[in-house]
Amino acid sequence: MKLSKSKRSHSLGFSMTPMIDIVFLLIIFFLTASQFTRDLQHPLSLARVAHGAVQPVTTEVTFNMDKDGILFVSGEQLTLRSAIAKLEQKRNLRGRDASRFRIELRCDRRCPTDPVNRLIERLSELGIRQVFVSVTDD
Amino acid sequence: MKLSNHRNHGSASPIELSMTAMIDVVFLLLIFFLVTSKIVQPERQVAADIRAEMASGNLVSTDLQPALIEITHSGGTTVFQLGAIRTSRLLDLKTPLVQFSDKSEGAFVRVGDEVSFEQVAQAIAMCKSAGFVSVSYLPGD
Repeated sequence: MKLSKSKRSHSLGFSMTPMIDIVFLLIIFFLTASQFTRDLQHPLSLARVAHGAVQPVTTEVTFNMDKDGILFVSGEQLTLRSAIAKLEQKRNLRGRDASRFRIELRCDRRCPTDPVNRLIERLSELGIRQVFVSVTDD
Repeated sequence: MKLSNHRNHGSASPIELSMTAMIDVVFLLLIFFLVTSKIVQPERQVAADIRAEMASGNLVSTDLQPALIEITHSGGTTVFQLGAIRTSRLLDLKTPLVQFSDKSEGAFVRVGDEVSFEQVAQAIAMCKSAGFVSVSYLPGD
């Protein structure tokens, strides 16, 4: 019984199938990795504004504040004191002028202003002169 | 018994594309996107200056009246005050802000406690859209 007819070919065959497999595997890897990065942002229902907002700029530190006024920095729940200490540490490491330090403030739209005011006061004491308030389009 | 009819011909192209495997992978990718994707509203930003040290003092050194919006919580509602205008609707302040003569000094938003943050963000954004160069956030007492 003859099962296959073996014939030696001298031409170099280039199989596209494994290459496409690998390419798509890489695409899936990068897309998944980028999804994880995005998920690091704390999910909040941001304030909705009709006009006046601009495209976001890159910031060094992001303060997230939920609807109960609880503060999160890099996914970690912090008190105001520890958040400010962390910010000071970061500023000292970078060795930059505080007034040029870019801070993003992501507050839930239902968040009461009491903790926001305390945070702003402390940032001002540190010499920070501007914050970027995150909002969504109405 | 003949199992395969495949034979390499010398004239055939050396690169062969297997469509079946590619369609398998493409559908896998499509399912992956459909399962993992979620609708995220794009974020934007409003820049606000911090002037905490001026919260209770004089805002500007000139004799001109500054564009100062005071947001307070009174009687269960949020009250916005710009000069003599006192209202519970922020939109009522839009026209006076647009008509403000000197916008180079910037606008100020003094925020009392117990106000929802959305109204503060909307007030800052409204000042920006009215043409003020800068908007300062003043934490209230």
